[in-house]
Amino acid sequence: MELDSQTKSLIVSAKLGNKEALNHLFARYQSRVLRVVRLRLTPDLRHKLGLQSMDILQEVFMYAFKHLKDFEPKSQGHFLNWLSKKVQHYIYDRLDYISREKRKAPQGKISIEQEFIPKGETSKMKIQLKDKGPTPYQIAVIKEKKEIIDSLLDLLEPEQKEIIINRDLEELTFKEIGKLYDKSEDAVRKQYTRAFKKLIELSEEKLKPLIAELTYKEYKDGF
Amino acid sequence: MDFDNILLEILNEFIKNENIDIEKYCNRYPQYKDALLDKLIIAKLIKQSFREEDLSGKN
Repeated sequence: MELDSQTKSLIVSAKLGNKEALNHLFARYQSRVLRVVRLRLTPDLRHKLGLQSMDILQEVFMYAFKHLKDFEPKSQGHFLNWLSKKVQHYIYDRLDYISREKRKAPQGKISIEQEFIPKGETSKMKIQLKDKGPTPYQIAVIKEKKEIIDSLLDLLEPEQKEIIINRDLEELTFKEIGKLYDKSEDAVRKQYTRAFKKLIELSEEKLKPLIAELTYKEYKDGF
Repeated sequence: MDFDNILLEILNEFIKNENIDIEKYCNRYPQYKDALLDKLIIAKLIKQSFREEDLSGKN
């Protein structure tokens, strides 16, 4: 999918150092990228990192956006894939840092929440978080669905899980995914269809009660 | 054709266009009508969940 014009212009402004543009980019992509990154971590690391912390998230995004100047996004998928890889890179740096500090202080005095300066950076950065979003009820329903589906994604084969992340969360086209794994577009499409079928089968039992809550009829009428 | 293959055929179509003509498949495979509808409801819900992330992210 082509990168929308608003994102394109936000990226250009952000590259020129416009803080407002950075805030907008953060607001647009933080939720999606956080989900992708969390899905790619093992459950143990997810717990260890405590990625719910907005402070950490803002640091991570600032780090990623600082590298925007070296990047020319070709599509929506290309941008999301790049952004989530940058965020992942930051997280692994942070994990390295924590293990090093823990070794230095074996009494366990190091906290995951403490200030962290990533490799190649000189200071901790902050950006302003804009609070625009759905109602608390919508958030609760979305969160429940998201948690169910994310936990089921963990049950897929790693390759199946990755292809769903690439396609549905990073919005890469089958052609773009094919390039990543040196496979044909058709082979990737088939692999994705099988992975998605498996996810449906795994989801059925867990999602049915939620569907009932959201009125089963409404969904059936949708087809 | 067995159910798994029918479902794969439908999902292949669904991936290209989420507003597929499910009635066409229900008429073609009436013995699987309910199961196919159930699967498509789940498919739609999963896809929706991936997109709903935007609600708290994109403006």
